[in-house]
Amino acid sequence: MSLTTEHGASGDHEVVYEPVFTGPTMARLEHLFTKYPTKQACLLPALWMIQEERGWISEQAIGEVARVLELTPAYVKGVVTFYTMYHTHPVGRHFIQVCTTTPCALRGAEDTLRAVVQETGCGELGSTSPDGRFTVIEVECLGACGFPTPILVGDDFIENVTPANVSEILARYT
Amino acid sequence: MGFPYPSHPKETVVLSKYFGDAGARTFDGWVERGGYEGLKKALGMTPDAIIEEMKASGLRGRGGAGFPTGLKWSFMPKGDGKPHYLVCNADESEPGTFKDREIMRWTPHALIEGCAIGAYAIAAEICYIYIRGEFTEPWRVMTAAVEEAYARGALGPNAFGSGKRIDMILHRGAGAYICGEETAMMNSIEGKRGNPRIKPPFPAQAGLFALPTTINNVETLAAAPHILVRGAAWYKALSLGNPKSTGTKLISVCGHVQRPGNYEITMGTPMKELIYDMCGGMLPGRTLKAVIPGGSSVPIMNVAEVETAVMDYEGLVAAGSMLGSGGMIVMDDTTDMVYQIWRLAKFYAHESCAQCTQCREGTAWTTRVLERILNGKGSEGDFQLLLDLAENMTGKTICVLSDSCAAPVVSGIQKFRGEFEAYMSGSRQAVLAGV
Ligand SMILES: Cc1cc2nc3c(=O)[nH]c(=O)nc-3n(C[C@H](O)[C@H](O)[C@H](O)COP(=O)(O)O)c2cc1C
Ligand code: SF4
Ligand code: FES
Repeated sequence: MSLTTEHGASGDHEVVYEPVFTGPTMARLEHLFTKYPTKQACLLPALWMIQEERGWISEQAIGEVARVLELTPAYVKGVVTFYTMYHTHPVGRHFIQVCTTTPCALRGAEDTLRAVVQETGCGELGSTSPDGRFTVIEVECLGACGFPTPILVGDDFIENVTPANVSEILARYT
Repeated sequence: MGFPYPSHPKETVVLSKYFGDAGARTFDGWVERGGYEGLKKALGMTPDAIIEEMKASGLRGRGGAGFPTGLKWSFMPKGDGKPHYLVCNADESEPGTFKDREIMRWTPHALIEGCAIGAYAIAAEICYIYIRGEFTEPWRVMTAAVEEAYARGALGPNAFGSGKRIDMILHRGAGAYICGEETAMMNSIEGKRGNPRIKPPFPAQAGLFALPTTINNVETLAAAPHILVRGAAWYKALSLGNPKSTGTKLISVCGHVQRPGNYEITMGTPMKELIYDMCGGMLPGRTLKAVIPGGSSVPIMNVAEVETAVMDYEGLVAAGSMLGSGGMIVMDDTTDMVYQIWRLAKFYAHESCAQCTQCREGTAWTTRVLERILNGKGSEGDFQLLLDLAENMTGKTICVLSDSCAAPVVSGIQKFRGEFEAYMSGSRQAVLAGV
C-alpha cells in the first residue's frame, strides 16, 4: 500500500528516518535518566519528546526508543498503543480533541463537535483535512466540565467553545 | 471560591482563596500570601508528629475513596532503610471533576508545599506528580513553579536548610482515565501500560518500583499546609455536625446550573444550598431532575434525595450515593436520562483497560444494550439483562472501574425506569441510528 503524505510518510513508516535522540535531545533524555531509578521509566517522556519533534511516532521511532532505553520494539509498541495521546500515524498540523462526555454532552458538546468537523473540512472524525491543517477526534472528559465545550488544539486548551465561535477560534490556526 | 465566579458568602474559602489571582503563582507571591509557612513548620517537626496532626484533623482523601490521610501515611514502614516514594495523583479524569486543575493553575506552590510535607512525613526523598497529558496549562504552571521552588531552596538536597532532601519530578500522562487508579499510575510511571495491579501487596509495602509508596490526590496534599499552620483543631471544626467528615471540600459543579464552577464548602453543607444559592439555581425556566454528586462513578440521585442530602461522606451515602471526587453533575427536566446513562457507559467501555473479563465484556455489552434501547429496539427483558450484567461487574474485578460503570445504570433503572420504558414502547422516539 502506498500511502504517501506530505509528512514524507508511508503508512506508519517515515520515508527517510533521522534519529531523534542526538545532540540536545539526547542530552535532555540523559538528564531524565537521573530522575528515575530505571531507564524504562523514561519511556513515556521519551515518547513525548519524539512526538514533539516529529508530530507522530513511527515504527522507526519505536525502534529507536527501544534501542536507547534498552527495551524491545514490541514492548514499546504495546505501551504506545495503550495511551490515546500518542499518534502512530501522521496527523494534521493542528490536532483537535473535543470532549463529548456526559457533563459536556448536557451542554451541547455534540453540536460543537459537529461544527468543528464541518469548519475544519475534515469530513469525518479521525481524518485529516485535505489541506493537511486539521485532524479532529472526539475524546472523553478533559477535566474542565464546567466550561463546555473544552477542546484542545495542539497544546492549546480552549474552554467555552460553541458552534457560534468555532470558526473564529479555528481562524487562529493556519 | 466559585471560580470563575467570585466567592459566595456561603463558601468557606481555604484552598480556593487565590483562584484567579495570577500573583499567587510565583514563589514571592505565594510567600506574600502566607505560603511556605506550613512546610517550614513541618521541617521543624518529627514525621510522627506531622502524621498525628493529620490524623487529628480528620482529613480524608479527596481523590474519591475518602480514606483517612494520616492513617494512610502511618502505614509507611519506618526505619526500613529503603527508598520511599510519594506520588501525587494529578490525573483528574473523572467526568464532572475539574478542581485539581484549578489548584495547579492558580496555586502551584500550595501543591508543591503539600507534596513536600507529605514526602517528609513518609520519609520519601522523591515525589512524582503525575499530571494528565491533556492538562497543558497546569503542566506549564507547575513546571515553572517547581523550577522556582528549587531555585529558592524550598526543594532539593537541603530543603529550607533542614538537611532533608526533597525532589519533585513532574510526570506527564498520555491519555488514559485508568491511570488515575493508584496502581495503574505506578505502572505508568514505570514505563508500562497503565493496568491496575492486584492488591495485595498494597502500595505502602510494594508500590512504585516495588518500594514503599504513598499516593494522594492533589486536593488532599494541598490541604496539608493549612492544617499544619492553623492546627488540626481548626480543620476538624470545619464541619457541620458530623465529626467523621471534616474540613472544606472543593465541589466542581457542572451541567444545568446558572453558574458552573468550583465551590469550596464546609463538610456537611446541604446540597440544596449549593445548587440554589451558590450556583444560582437551575437555568431559567428549568427544574431539577437528577444529580450525580461525586464524579460519574457514583449512583444517580433523584429530586427527593437531593431535597434532604448533606454534602459529606456519610451524608451522601445516606442519600443513596457517594461524595467521591466531588464532581457534581446537575441535570434538569430537559435531560434524556437513558441517553446520558448510555454516554457514561460508553465512557467506561472506552476507558476499560480490558484486563478483567467482567469489565471488558460488561462495559461493552452494557453500552450495546443501552444503544439498542435508544434505538427503539429494547424490550422489558433488557432491564434484567442490564441488572445481571451490573451484578457481574460489581465487586469482582481488579479495580472498581467496572463497578463504576454499573452504578449509574442500576440507579438509573431504579429511579428513572419510566424513561427506559418510553423508548421500549415507542412513546419516545428512537434517537440513535444503526445497531
Ligand atoms: C478508575 C479509577 C480512576 C481514578 N482516578 C483518579 C483521579 O483521576 N484522581 C485521583 O486523585 N484519584 C483517582 N482515583 C483514586 C485513586 O486510586 C486513589 O484512591 C487516590 O488517588 C488516593 O488519594 P487520596 O487518598 O488522597 O484520595 C481513581 C480510582 C479509580 C479506581
Ligand atoms: S476492572 Fe476494568 S479497568 Fe479495572 S483492572 Fe479490570 S479491566 Fe482494567
Ligand atoms: S466532560 Fe467534558 S471536560 Fe469533563
